[in-house]
Amino acid sequence: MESSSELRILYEKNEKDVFRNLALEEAILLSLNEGNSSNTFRLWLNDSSAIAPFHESIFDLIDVEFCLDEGINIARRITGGGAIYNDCGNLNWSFFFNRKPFEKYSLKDLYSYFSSFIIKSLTQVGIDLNFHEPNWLGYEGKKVSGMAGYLKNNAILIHGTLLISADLTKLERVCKQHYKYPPVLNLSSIKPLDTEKVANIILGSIEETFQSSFKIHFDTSPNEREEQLLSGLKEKYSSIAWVFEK
Amino acid sequence: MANIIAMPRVDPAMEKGTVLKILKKIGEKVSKNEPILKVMTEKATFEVNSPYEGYVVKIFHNEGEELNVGEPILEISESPVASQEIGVVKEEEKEILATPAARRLAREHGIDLSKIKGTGPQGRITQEDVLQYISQSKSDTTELALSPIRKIIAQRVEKSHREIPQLTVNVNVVVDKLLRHRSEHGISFDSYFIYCVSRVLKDFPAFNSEYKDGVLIKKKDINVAFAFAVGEELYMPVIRNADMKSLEEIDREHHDLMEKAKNSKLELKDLQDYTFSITNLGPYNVIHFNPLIYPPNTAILGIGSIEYKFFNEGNTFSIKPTIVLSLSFDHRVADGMQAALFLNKIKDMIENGKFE
Repeated sequence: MESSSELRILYEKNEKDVFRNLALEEAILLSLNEGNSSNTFRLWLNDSSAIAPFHESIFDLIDVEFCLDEGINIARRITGGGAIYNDCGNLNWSFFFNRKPFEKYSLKDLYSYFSSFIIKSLTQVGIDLNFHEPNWLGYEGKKVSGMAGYLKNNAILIHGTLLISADLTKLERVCKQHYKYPPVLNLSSIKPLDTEKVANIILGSIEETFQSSFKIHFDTSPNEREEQLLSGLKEKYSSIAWVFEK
Repeated sequence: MANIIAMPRVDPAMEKGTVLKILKKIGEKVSKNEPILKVMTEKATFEVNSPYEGYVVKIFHNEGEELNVGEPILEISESPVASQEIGVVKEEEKEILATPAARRLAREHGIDLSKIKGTGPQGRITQEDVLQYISQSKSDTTELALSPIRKIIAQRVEKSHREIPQLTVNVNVVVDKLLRHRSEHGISFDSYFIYCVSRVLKDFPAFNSEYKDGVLIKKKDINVAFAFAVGEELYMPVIRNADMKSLEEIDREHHDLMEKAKNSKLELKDLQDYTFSITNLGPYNVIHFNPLIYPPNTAILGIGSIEYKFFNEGNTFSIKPTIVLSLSFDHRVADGMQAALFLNKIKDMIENGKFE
């Protein structure tokens, strides 16, 4: 049984398989819900991928033909929201927390609370992001991060993207409904930043912020229970049925 | 006593929610605090636990429906209803599976979803099914929505036909040695061609390439896809690095991929990164055909059915089994001569039994 007073910081910087990485999101959430994982902050990167939300048709949201032509993976995540495009110029961040202390929080509060740590990290490099309802972060009105969430009985997952130096031309081609959302912006167009630099800034900031209330430990791989769950979930996430048949 | 589970207000600002998934069926037992629903708002996805123990006896709304907070979704009873009653309830409340987009569209057009046949998994009604229903109701023709896999194939072949100037060349190949080897070793017909193609492609890199924006991108790996139909679905599973594998290894992998396809177990990685494709219409009595290149490849090999032909060798007549191999190639990257040489190399391997 893991302690809820611990915060694990997980960053597997060489694991870029989108199907495996999305399966791990669910595995950590399940394991935390069972009490077999501690609260976790995770940073993760994916190779070039289009990721659809849980509930909508891939063909309505993603330019499948373009993805096939460009060798862009097509995947589906457990959370709702819109379609996103990931490549190594985008850093994904996730908070997995025990739900109990947050039971009275509204969803807006949850998004605002967890993304505040991303905002705080980036102030260190002179970038002032703003939280926008319902769930995105912006710089001068342009979107740099979108969020989604999943609430289980005992566990919360709030995760988001962070555009640093992503291929925005591809993003706009891949996500068919991008015009419905605010225009997007890479952090690298504000300051000279790359993914690794931003990852290090965020990791340091998270450690500093949480160390007074949590026992922090860094990990570079999932725990045993998560690995166990992951091995069962990987097949689902890369199956045609999961990705295409919604 | 019956208890109702209604759309919960999981957030103070929440007014509506979509039923994403009902985790129990009518008649199933539910424990207290067991997850019973997945609900989505515009902001997040929630699992809803049952506050009651009992049996699901009624489902008021279906997956994909957007409901106001407080609208009933399920009824839980302390005792199970008799199986006959369950049958009645099931019939009355027959579950209609539909995507949220399909439900929205149906609502907008005042369409009863029960009149639409879904083409999604488990007969789920998709947005396109509704669109087709709408257009169908305006005409007297029948239109069928494409399955996701068929839709991808449609996009690929349309692109191929639209963008690739392709030419097909054919060659006759005697397959007596192949058939003999096959009967001795129990290897599938396709595997011989995957094996031979993977060896010959090394000398013809233009056929193991991608043509993009005026540039020929030669692929380092030789990953051969083979067309395989399961029911009405066509899959193109890929044997990666086929040139590094023996005929037996290729055949094992070929068999495993076909089993996965038959059991709906194919993963996306099984269908990606192909650098060359083959398609075999031999089992369907097709002598020869012009296969369409599967983008982003630059060539595809078609295999026809076995025909017995007379041969005059010296003064001896013989009858031998033959097939026609057809190579369709992107004329921007190669000429007929190269295609002919490529086919003749395969012919040489097949006719002389060069399988090791």
